[in-house]
Amino acid sequence: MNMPKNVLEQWSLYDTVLLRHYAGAGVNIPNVPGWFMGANPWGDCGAANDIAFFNVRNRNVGLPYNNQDARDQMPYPMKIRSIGVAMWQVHQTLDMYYNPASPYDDICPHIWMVDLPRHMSLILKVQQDERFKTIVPLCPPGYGPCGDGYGRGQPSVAVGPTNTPKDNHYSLATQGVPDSNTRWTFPTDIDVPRRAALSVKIRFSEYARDLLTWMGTLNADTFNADGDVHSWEAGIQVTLGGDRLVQQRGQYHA
Amino acid sequence: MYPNVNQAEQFKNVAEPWVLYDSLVICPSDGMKGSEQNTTGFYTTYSTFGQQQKHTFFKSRTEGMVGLEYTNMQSADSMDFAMEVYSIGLAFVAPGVRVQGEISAGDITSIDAGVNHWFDTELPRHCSISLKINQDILCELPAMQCSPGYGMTGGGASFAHNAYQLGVDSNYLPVMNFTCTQGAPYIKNRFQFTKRDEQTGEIVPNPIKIPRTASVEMILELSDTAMAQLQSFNGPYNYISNNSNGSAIVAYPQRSIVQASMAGKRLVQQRAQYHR
Repeated sequence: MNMPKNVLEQWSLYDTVLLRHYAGAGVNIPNVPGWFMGANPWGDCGAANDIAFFNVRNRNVGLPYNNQDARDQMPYPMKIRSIGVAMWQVHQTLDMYYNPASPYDDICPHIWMVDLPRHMSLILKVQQDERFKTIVPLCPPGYGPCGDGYGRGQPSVAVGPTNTPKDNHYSLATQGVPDSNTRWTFPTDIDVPRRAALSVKIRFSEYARDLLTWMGTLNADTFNADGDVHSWEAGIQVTLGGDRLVQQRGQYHA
Repeated sequence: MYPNVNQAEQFKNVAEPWVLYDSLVICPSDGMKGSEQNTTGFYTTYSTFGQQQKHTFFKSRTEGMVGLEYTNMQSADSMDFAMEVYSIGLAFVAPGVRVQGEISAGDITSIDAGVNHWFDTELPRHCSISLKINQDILCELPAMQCSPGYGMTGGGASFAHNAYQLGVDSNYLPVMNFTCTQGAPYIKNRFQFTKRDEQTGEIVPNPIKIPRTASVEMILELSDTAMAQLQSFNGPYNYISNNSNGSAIVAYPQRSIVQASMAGKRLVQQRAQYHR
């Protein structure tokens, strides 16, 4: 019989919320729903009630950030096997270039990647059912840079516009061992029907929201060795791993 | 079985993956939100935390009281559903920004660069954790052995400034950032309940089965050493940083957490609607 047949195909769905501080004039700032791109990304993030994934954006924001075909419903059934949340900040944490007109910040990236996740919760909803409610650290992403070390990067050599010593330091952190098996894996798959509404909401505790607001008041910029100003970016990325059911392609079998 | 009802229509419990978690919090009073300061298990000083030898999880707090970020218990003192617990974990979490300080009028008045590190790396050595279901103690462990299986990983720590004069009134702003977890934060790296299969000889999961409405506690017990040390500390204090134009030092309260978790499957009513 020539009946259409769905087959299981391994698939990952991902969506990203970015916080970006744009430095410099004349920069074209994209208008993406749910991203924090204003003058105070930390503060705006802290002011949000919650941060939504999988029901706000689609792949038009850029495939590095989202691979959904539709914003608000599933175009195919999916069996969700695992979930992960990655938080990152620029790893070259901000320069300690002392200049009263251009202040620096040494702690916000570390707070974002290491401390704030401890004060965040996550709810996975399929249609109206909350299928998984937990804390963000229990959902490590299973990927991320892996390395070691943190320290001052430069000796006290006079560089820069005003010949004052400049120091960089680098912070490398990942939520959980960055091994692909280190994700929250559901003992039984969560079945999501086609056309279902799927969402993940991440929430900060009130303490964390006020901490983000405070971070927003520090107003830090990033410099490189030439004194040029660079924008910085922080992100939260949620990934759902599993299998999707699609029409058999009818031509390729390994 | 309900009489006069087809077997196919009988209510049926299904097993749903679930993690139950609960937290103790230590944070200065100006960092407490809402009714947190009056909540059992939320302390404003290390000293008051250290005055009590035993601290309990899953007995006192609910999501409605402290938020989903700190617990997902719906009832304070009993299980809302039957649960098979496959593993337990215990996390000691101090801020990774290791330096905490006090400020007054924009100047630093005190700094502590050691307590946060002690909290994560030494305090667990001086604590034990027990799991009690109704009146039965089913597990006792040194706290350090009960790895949470989750947390931040990275590396390194150093003071990030030299003695270069920065900040207000030539105070220099010391910074030391660190990432730390008890045990490698590999999701299976928790205390697993297992047994040896009699037939195959392999180690297989052997979950603890908790009935609905059972009383569940994980009990953290501090040693005399831990209690004395905690009572000798003056904090916790604050994150400190320069303000936006470098004219003053600003602060925000730091929060440390001890978090217990039980992972497994809960048995709930089938939702009866999903079909692809």
